[in-house]
Amino acid sequence: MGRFWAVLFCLWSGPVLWGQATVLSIGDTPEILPPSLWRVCDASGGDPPVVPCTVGLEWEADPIPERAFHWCSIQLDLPSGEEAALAVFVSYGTGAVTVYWDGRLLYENRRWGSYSNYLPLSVAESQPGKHHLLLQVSDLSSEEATFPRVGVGTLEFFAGRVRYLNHRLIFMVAIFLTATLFFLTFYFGFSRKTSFLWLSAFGLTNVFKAILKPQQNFFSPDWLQDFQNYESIHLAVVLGAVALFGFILWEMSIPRRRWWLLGFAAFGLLAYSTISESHFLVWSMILSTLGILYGVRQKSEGAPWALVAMGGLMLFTYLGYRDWLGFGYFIGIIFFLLCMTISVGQKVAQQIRLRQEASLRSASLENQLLKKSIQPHFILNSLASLQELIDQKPAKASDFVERLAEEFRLVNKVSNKKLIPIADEIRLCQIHLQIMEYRKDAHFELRTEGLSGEEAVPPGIFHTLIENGITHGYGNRRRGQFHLRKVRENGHVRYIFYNDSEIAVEEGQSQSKGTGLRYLEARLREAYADGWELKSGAVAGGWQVELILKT
Amino acid sequence: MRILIVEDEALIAQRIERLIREILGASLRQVVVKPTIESARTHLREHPLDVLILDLNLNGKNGFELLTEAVSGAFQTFVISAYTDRAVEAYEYGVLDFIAKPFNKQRLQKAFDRYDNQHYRAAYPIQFLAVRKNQQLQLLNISDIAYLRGAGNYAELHLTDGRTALHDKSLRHLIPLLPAHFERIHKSFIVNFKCVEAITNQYEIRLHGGTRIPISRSKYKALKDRLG
Repeated sequence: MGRFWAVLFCLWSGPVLWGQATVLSIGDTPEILPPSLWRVCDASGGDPPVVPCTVGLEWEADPIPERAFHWCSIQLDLPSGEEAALAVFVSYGTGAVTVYWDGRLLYENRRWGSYSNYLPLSVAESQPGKHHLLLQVSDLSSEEATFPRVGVGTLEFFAGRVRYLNHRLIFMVAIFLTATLFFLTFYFGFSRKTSFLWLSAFGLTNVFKAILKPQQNFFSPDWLQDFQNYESIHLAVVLGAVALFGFILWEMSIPRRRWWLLGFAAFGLLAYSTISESHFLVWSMILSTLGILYGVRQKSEGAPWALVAMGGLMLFTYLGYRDWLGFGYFIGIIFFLLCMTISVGQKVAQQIRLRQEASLRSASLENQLLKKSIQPHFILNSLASLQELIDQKPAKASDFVERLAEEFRLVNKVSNKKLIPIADEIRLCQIHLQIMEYRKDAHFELRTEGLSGEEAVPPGIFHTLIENGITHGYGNRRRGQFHLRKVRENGHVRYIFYNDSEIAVEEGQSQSKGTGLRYLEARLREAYADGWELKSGAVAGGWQVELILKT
Repeated sequence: MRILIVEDEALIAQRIERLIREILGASLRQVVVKPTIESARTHLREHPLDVLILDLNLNGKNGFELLTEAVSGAFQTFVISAYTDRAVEAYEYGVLDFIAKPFNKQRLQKAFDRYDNQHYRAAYPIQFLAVRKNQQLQLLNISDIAYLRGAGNYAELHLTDGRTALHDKSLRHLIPLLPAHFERIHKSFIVNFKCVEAITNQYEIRLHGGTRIPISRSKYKALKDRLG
């Protein structure tokens, strides 16, 4: 590029390239100027620079008392060629810096410096020939004096460099922010699964961490000094690790997870003031991995993806640590979030499928109750009975129609519910018995015992037992007794349903076979999952069904 | 006429009985109602019958259990049921009529008309005939019957493979149940026309396999024209 040497500022892989040159030369990479080039400033000036060494400036942050100011005087000989504006790059995060170019004060910060700062020169100041660069620094943070990295290159190069870094940062922040909102949305959208919330928090801590990273010129207001950035980043790392650990505790359903989380948070706070950020990171990754391995052992659903994600995070972080991969830790985080996104996506898809199935199951149960109660056989037989009533007992016909209408209305009201008050269920049973009394020219009685009326039961379950009882149990008899009793026992609720049917006693056969029992079981499964038990069999003088609800 | 009603719903049984009394009037000798399959079966064993009126769903049990036994009897069977989708099946087993619930007097009247006028064919021809052999019920496929020979109150079924079986119904009761290709060609014979080879000049029909069956003189000309 002719005289327009681009000075490569290899923040990306910088450390490898540092430290060999002893004298700053144009066209080279930025270097840490070796201590031998730096002289202590004092009042007598020593080897006086072109501009006087300033001592006693009032820094915003107190310099370490015994720390002297250092200066470095550099002669540059710019070769001839195309003309372009140059810039001086000074990277000195830990201290104050003053820069002179050919005797002109170019920059002075009097406070903690910046990791990425370029100082533009005019075209006139960038002419070929001899130039003089003078730097004065004072380290405000370390016990031992450190010196800045300094370089000279084209203004265009530095501006491009900063743009590139900013774009990369925007990209990372966008990913972290998207992940944060993605998991947050799923937390609120799907069953408020706590592990989604932890993932969202993990994404958010990384947003802060990326924004605050001092190497960037992306967000560096005057009030936020770099040393505060470091503290904030350290805090973000601790909070991020807590969120990650929380995610693993909840995702792997680890027992006593609240205590584990509390312990880990305490460890993070302790580590914040006692061990380095990188040591803390290593420990938090080890603990998180142990949590995932527990999940793998317990065959936890999300464990395989979490293991892949954590493996990637550790690998990329290690590559970054060894300087084999720039921003390895951040790439690791992105990989982790990517794996979790896939895992969550799978989970959500599965949840949608399960919900659809459950809703279909409910719809089917609703249909079954409706169908059972208004099935053609029931209606047509009722209509045939009604014909006879109209012909022979018109006054009763009207009453019969009202009973039928009431049963249909009640069934329609309760069929789409998972649970209904037992009072409604009993009413449904009584109406059905009244209808069957007409049809069978019989007398049926339903007695209840121990019910408050407020109990909730799946719709149609006792109604189904009554239907079965009448269908199978009263062929030759014109009287029937039904008895529903509720008993509390060992924390369980038992509903004991008895009828004095003849056929069960005579033949010992089941009253509850077929669609009725299938309907009953499906309703109980929907309402109580596995927390119920149904027993039935012949007892003295009749048939008994026992429904046990495990509470 | 002696009638048994098998119906587990009292009100409907009462309706059937009342309407039958109105329809048959003095010709009704006896009407009995049984609400279960078991009690009906006992009654059938012990009492002669002309018509059985059967519901297909009795106390949760399948009325077809009784139907198979019933259609092998000497009486005719009407089914009265809400399960209209089973009508075809019931006809295939040999019921004379299938009455859908709910029903009125006219519909029941029609069933008894069909009983009285045996030249009416059933609404749907049977596929099987149930016969009793060694106390066991056996279903014979109608297409396996070559001809039927009357034997008093019974009918001998002659099958295409040469076997024979005895049915409790007379030819008079069987003809309305059988498909149209079964025709009464003689006072004592019903022939499956799918098995007929030729008509001879000796007032006989010759079947595949050589069996010869007499034709009544009154039917000879019509048959000659048809087969000739």
